[in-house]
Amino acid sequence: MKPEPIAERLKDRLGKEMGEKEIQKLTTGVAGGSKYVIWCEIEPSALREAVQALAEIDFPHLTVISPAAQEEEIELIYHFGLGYGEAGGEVMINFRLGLDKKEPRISSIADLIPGALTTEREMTEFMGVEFEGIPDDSHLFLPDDMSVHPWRQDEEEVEDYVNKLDEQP
Amino acid sequence: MKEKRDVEMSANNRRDTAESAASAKNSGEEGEKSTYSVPVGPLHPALKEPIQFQFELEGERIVDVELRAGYAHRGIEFMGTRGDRNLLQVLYLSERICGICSTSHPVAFTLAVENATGMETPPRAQYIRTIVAELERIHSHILWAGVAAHELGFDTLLHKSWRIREKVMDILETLTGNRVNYAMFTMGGVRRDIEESDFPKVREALDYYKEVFDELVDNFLHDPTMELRTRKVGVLTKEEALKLCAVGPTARASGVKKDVRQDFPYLAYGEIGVEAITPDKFRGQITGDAFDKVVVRLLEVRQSVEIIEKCLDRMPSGPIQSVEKPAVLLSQLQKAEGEGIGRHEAPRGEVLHYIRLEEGQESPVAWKVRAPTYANLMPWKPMFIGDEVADIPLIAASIDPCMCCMDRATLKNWKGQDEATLKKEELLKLSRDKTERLRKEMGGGG
Repeated sequence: MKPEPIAERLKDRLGKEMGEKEIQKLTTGVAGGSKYVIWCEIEPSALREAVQALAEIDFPHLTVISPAAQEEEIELIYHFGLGYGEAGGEVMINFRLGLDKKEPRISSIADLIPGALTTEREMTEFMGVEFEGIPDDSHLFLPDDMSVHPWRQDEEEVEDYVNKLDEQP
Repeated sequence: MKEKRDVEMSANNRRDTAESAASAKNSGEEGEKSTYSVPVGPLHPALKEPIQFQFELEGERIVDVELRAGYAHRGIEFMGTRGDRNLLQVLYLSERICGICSTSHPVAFTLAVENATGMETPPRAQYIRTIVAELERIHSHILWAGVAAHELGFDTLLHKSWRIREKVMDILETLTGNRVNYAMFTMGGVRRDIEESDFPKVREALDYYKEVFDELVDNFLHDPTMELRTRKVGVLTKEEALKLCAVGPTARASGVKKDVRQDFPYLAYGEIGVEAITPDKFRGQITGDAFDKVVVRLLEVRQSVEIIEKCLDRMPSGPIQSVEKPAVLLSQLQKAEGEGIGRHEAPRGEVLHYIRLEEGQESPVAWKVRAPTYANLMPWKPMFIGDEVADIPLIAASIDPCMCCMDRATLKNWKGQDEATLKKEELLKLSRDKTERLRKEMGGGG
């Protein structure tokens, strides 16, 4: 699968809601062939439209949602893969979106891609992001009574949970 | 004869019965059968990992399952991004994410950093990385096959397959110095070379595996009890595998031809050419059950042997690292800026590492690890529904989960007792008793 048609389709569907886009070309190791990664910045409100645009080509494979940065706003990156099955034919598409730090909220895509539930639940408990329409937002990895978000760098209570083994009691 | 037919027919009716039972429970009608819930976990009877299941049972059939993970959560990403570790220290941390797949995380991590910084890796290093990754695949699949046999009650097959596995562990020790946690990888290359004098030992081990492969296939795939016990157990359809984003042998056993070595080539796989293995290569049909998962993993062992042979034949000469001194490497990485992803096909499926580096900072700004079992957590649910309590150890082990160690099950309303705690031995005994029962029904006996 070539990356340009995918990028064009996203541009057509999202228009102004898509910001910077870059097609990164990587080598396929020793063979010297090429494989492609599309990085693009989109508005949070355009996420569902973007996923539907990908689904028209092939059923997208959501790998994970990464929390990328937390300075002015919480930046999430959605890692999608499209086009499995042919040798060297998969294109990775990474959507970068910024959420408000005080109230990070975005619509859930668990109805479009049921496998997205695990990573959305992880983002809820670790970063405090609220996914609208998520079928189940109970804790998956952390205890039920833990209300601190460990990956938020501005939360000071997280330090209480860190086990400092090198300090003598 | 009638009993045997009933066993076969009930396998087909499992799903329908379970669905109607689940809907009866949800509709809350009076006089319908009600379900009772059985927590299993967090220490687990299959494949030594802590995870908590909550099973809803109707009689012996599972109608619903919920799971809670996180018992082996050690906060590795938290440790890596706190700002007090440089990239080599984060690499050492990534090696210790998992013991069985101790190559997978360093490979994905070094690929991510190399993609973020544009660092080159010499060809010889790519081949050495491929060889170590494929050796790890062989040892991991044979280990899993032995454990699956153990869950079903074939302890002799467990000991036989683990004895067969010793050869690849010896080779790994010869090449890397350790049986587990090889510390072979670094950004821009590998840390130790494979001497020409070691090649004959590796080839001898590969010949041994080629000889012994037919025996393994005979014991696992042509044994009638094994087939009866694993056929139609833990079925994952192709559509479910796609929708739930399953990865690795779990997805391939359902007919989804996803393999990172084929789709998004890296290291030496692009040159050698890898094709995703699906169960129709063995018998021409795909069911997506536990038997198909055994098929896929055993055929991948043979594929790995062939890949390592090709690597040895084509190994180029040259340096093994693009930057030799760690201090120089670290200062180069400190000046680097960028973000990258690294993907690798671990024995359990796709591993992804995402990393973001900023100029002037020694430690990464953001690091995300996505292990393959994470993606296979959701496919577990449709695999359990419709099957029996005695199949729990087998289905839990069939996705080859990588978390960590042992368990006991607490059941309510089990056999007339208000509350009973079943130890690991008892849950395992249920699984083995079912095997014995099926063998007797088959009329085999021995």
